[in-house]
Amino acid sequence: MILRAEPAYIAHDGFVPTRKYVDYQDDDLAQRVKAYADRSAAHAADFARYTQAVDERVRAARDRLTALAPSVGSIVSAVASSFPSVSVSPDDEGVLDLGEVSGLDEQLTPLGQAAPFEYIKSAASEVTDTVAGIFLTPAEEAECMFQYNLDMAECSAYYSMQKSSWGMCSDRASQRLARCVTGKGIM
Amino acid sequence: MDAKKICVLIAYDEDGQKITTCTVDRAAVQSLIDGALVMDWPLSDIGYELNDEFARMIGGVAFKLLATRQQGLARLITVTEDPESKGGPPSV
Repeated sequence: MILRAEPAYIAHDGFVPTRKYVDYQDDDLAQRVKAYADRSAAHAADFARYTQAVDERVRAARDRLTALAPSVGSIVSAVASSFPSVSVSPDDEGVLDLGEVSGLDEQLTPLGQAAPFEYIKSAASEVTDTVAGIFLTPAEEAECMFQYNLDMAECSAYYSMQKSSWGMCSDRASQRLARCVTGKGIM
Repeated sequence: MDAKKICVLIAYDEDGQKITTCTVDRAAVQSLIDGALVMDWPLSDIGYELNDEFARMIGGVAFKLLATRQQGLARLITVTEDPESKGGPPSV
């Protein structure tokens, strides 16, 4: 059990060496708290920008695909139905073997009988959902950053008592952040 | 039969203006420990000696960790810090 007593009451034969850093302690602590707060604010702002960029990208991708959906079907059909009218000039002979190619007006090429490609709606919409699924919501990401900031505050506490603890602590904080933002939760 | 392993909890009671200590069943809090930022202090690093110096360090860590969330405690902490730590942690 650890009890705190006024320094005057402590014989100080136990804690060796007895050192006081009264001069720097207050200023230094305030300075460090401020530096940490500034860093946290900068990180939060960075993160907010990143989140916004990701959101915009996802939204834009979704809008594009939605807008594209009806036209893709008609383009594919148009392309497919235009195949029978392809004409091969003598210069192109031997370049590509199209098999039995009928005359321009006969409309009887193998491709002419093929069913036109059809746009399948679920394909595109599923893709966007899957892509969106790998991102956390902004709230979830903010939660990860919040926890990371708390972790780093703890690392500062460890650091003040033992400088060499910084590496292990900041590494573990980073690992926890990585697990959190990849949706694996904090372990 | 072995006694159950325990953990020591140290808390700061702001309303009562006191530090409280207690022990809890370790198995009961294991899931909380798994979700926490855990630091290791290998005994080999301190020559298997739980001496005054190590107690000062661990005690200081406990107070300072509490102070990260209960700022009122910070100004009361007069534990000697690591002289090497002057200037604050490297910027991250």
